[in-house]
Amino acid sequence: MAQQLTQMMASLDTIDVGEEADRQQPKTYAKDSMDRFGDDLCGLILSYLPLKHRFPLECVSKQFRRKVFESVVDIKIRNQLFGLKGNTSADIIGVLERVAEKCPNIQLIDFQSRKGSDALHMFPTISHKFPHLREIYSGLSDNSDQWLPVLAPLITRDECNVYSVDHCHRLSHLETALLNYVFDSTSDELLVKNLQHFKF
Amino acid sequence: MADNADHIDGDDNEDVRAQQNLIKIKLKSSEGGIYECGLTAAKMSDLVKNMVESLGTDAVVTTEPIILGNEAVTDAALKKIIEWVEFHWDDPPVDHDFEDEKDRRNEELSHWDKQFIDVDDQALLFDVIAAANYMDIKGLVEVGAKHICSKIRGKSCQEVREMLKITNDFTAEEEDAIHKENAWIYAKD
Repeated sequence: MAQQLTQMMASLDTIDVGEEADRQQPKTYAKDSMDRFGDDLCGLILSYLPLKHRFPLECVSKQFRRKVFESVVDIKIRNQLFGLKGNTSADIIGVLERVAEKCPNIQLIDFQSRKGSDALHMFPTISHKFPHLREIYSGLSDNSDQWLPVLAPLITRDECNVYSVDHCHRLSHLETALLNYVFDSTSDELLVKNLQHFKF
Repeated sequence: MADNADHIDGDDNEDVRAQQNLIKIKLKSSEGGIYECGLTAAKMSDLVKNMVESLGTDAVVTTEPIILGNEAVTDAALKKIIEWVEFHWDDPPVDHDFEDEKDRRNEELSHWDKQFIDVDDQALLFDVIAAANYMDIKGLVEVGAKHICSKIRGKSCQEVREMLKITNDFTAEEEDAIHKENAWIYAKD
């Protein structure tokens, strides 16, 4: 009886040790390995990298892949996007499409460069790929008529010549050469009521 | 600046902050070491701040040390953390306005912070960052994050794995697929 009990306890012990080891195993990381950081901390650290430098890191580990693009909330279109030369509007839209696939949380796109504002007319074809887009900075240009009705509610900043601000209810930053665009032509009412910064 | 009386509880007033930092409280590492720290400095840790507020300042000053039970809070890490908060406790308060935050995120580390965080012992560096994260000292976590990012910027994924001792848990096929997805970014012209 006593022997049985001892045996039972011994086997229980073994089971305990086994479970303990199983539970502990995924948790024991070397102290000098970044594997020890949880997803939140890992994501927070990677959030300090410029977007361009994040792409090479996607294949570091599964954790990096999960976290590396999560914190990207804005993207700025420059004349040379990611060092790619000779961007046409189509190239810029192509890049944005790829960025959208990787970065699901983009809230703001800055199109204020020349190439960027040229590309804006093609943007409505892919704008649905940015489900969290809340703001666009734009340089409204000649071709505004084609896309402005669709995107105007998102525009919060604009420089260059304003052709039609009357849909841009949320415009807060404006730089313009022609003051009369800011007022309604018949009632003289101010069209941009949320303006906080203005350059003339 | 709304100087309403309800709001002056010491946190906004520079003199009070300086005075309160003369009050020393005790912090206990997970290894059992007990270290003194100025009250204002210690309250840069939101974890400590909340404890002090719920226990009351008097209780914290006169009684047991505050126990920081996370394993990252080693003696060495806690000493480093106290050094950091004692240097930074009178920094101007952080503005949470979006633009300012963006500027701050992009700002280079100060000379002092760079020297502070440039720790050769990577285990200690990770302890400091993980402990600062546990203690909720946002400014210090940011210093650690910027330091790591400055080291991995422009490096290949293999170089980053070696530097930060990260295990590659992808299969060769998975890794290849990711490379292909991102090939466009390296294709100049």
